[in-house]
Amino acid sequence: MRAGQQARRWRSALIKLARTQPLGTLGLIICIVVIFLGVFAPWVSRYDPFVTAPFDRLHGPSISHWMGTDEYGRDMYSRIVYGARVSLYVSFFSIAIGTFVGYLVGIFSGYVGGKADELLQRVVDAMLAFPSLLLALTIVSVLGAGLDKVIAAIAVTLAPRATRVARGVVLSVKENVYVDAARVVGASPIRIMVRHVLPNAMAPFLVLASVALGAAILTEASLSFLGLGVPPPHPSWGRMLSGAAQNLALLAPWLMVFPGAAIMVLVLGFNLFGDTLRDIWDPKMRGR
Amino acid sequence: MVPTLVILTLLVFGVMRVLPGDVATRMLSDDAGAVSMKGYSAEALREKLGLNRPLYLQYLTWLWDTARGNFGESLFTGQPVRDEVLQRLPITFQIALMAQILSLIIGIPIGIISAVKQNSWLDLVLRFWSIFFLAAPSFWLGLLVILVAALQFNWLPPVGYHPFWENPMANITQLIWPAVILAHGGLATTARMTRSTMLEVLREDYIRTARAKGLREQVVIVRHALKNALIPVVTLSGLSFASLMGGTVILEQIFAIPGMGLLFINAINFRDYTIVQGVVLVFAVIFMLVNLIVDLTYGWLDPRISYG
Repeated sequence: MRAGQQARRWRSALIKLARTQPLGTLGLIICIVVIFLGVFAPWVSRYDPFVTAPFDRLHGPSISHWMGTDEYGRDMYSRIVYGARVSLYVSFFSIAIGTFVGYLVGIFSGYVGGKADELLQRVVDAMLAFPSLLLALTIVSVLGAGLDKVIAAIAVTLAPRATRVARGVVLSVKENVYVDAARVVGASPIRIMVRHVLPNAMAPFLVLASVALGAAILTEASLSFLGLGVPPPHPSWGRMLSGAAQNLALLAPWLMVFPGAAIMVLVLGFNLFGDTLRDIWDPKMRGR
Repeated sequence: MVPTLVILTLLVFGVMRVLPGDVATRMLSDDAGAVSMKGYSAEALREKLGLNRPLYLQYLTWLWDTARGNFGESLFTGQPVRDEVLQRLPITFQIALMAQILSLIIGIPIGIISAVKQNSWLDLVLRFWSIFFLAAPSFWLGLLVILVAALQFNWLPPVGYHPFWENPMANITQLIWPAVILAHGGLATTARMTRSTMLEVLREDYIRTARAKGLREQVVIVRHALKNALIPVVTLSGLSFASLMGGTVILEQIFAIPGMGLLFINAINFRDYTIVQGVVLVFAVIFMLVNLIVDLTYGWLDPRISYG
């Protein structure tokens, strides 16, 4: 009896969500679909994306190859689905690391205050003055190529904003009466942080993360397009675009259309969902 | 501004030095890079580059050299870094500037119309369009456009750079393509921003007064609403200039335009660290200058703000 009621409540909540925030629901659906495809890539794809087939090169979209084949005869649809895996992996990890490090620095900066805080904020300002692609390129130039290096580079581009958000949370919490009371009673700083700062930091974190996911994917695609991102053999949408643009766009337009469309769809999904989250949880950020 | 500048120099210097592994061995290890350093052994190279000295000494000598305009020599060609960078700076700057102008000229009117005729079909089309095009990678859109043009009209973008004063037509016809593609993102953002600020302004009391006075709607919009609505838009677009310059990096690669972006990418691929350092530094200084100009302009445009 209770299970049925629960299920109905979920359903009506979802329907309400769909009606009031149609774009956000669309974004959520897109995200879920792409994540599903990425996670279950080996089962969803029809061919092995790494196996070359010299006799099937450069076929256009057809019944057997939904998105055609590339210059090595690999099935594009499978490559795109596996590429979703790579994009999601890179973006999730870079966001996780970037926001984690950024939050640590931000919380420290906000809590300690004073000169250290000012200094750290200047550093953050300096980093934010740079467009993220240039920052990422600089980091990659220093660290070299490689999957983990790309993740680190993108994480670095996201960390400054996370620092700002975390610091904001800490500053607003510091004024809180509860915190003063806790300090008077003798609670350790760690306890204060866990009980007061973290719960308030959750919502901004989710908003920041969902907005940053789109940016992370675009940065990864740009890096790969320039040849400085995810290395072969991992399929990367950005690198597929680069190969197509250089060699074969006129002969085989599908090589260029599909990876780019994939990027657009995924970023769109994250952006729409992130915008909706932001509207729900952080109305003062609207219009930014 | 000065402290931020100092921190920037520290960051640029630090990033290039504080890296895993030894710079000298890395430079000699590949046969792709550091051609002009080939004759040296690792120890001799370290000596030459001054890597054996304490870090703060390295930083100070680098800072002093840079302040006097000596950015070192390219590890690949041996040419002074400053010449290479300054030669290409105007090109990249021009592309970014053209893109900025385009996005303002087209974006602001679109935003105004969208706000004035709120929820009309035009408004909805614009909102959907901006959402879509902000999500798409700009270089992909550009490539699609070129693809369609090539397939349908048998046309390709021109190659071969001509400086502006030599041949303005050729210069503009070549640079207009990356500029237009680059302007896309900025256009969408500018239009949205203009729309939202216009909507806010149009709700203000003084607009109601203006209408109550019997002024024509056009006058109300242009003379009273527009000025106030534009302030945040101008500041935002000034700040986005940095990301425009960043965006030229990819587009220069696609269109083979010899700008700073292409220099940067090649330097990264060839491990030409002195050039990488020089390019990053120049970018950093430009962004700081742009931010400063935007701050000052904001203060000038909005008389309520004053800098003590």
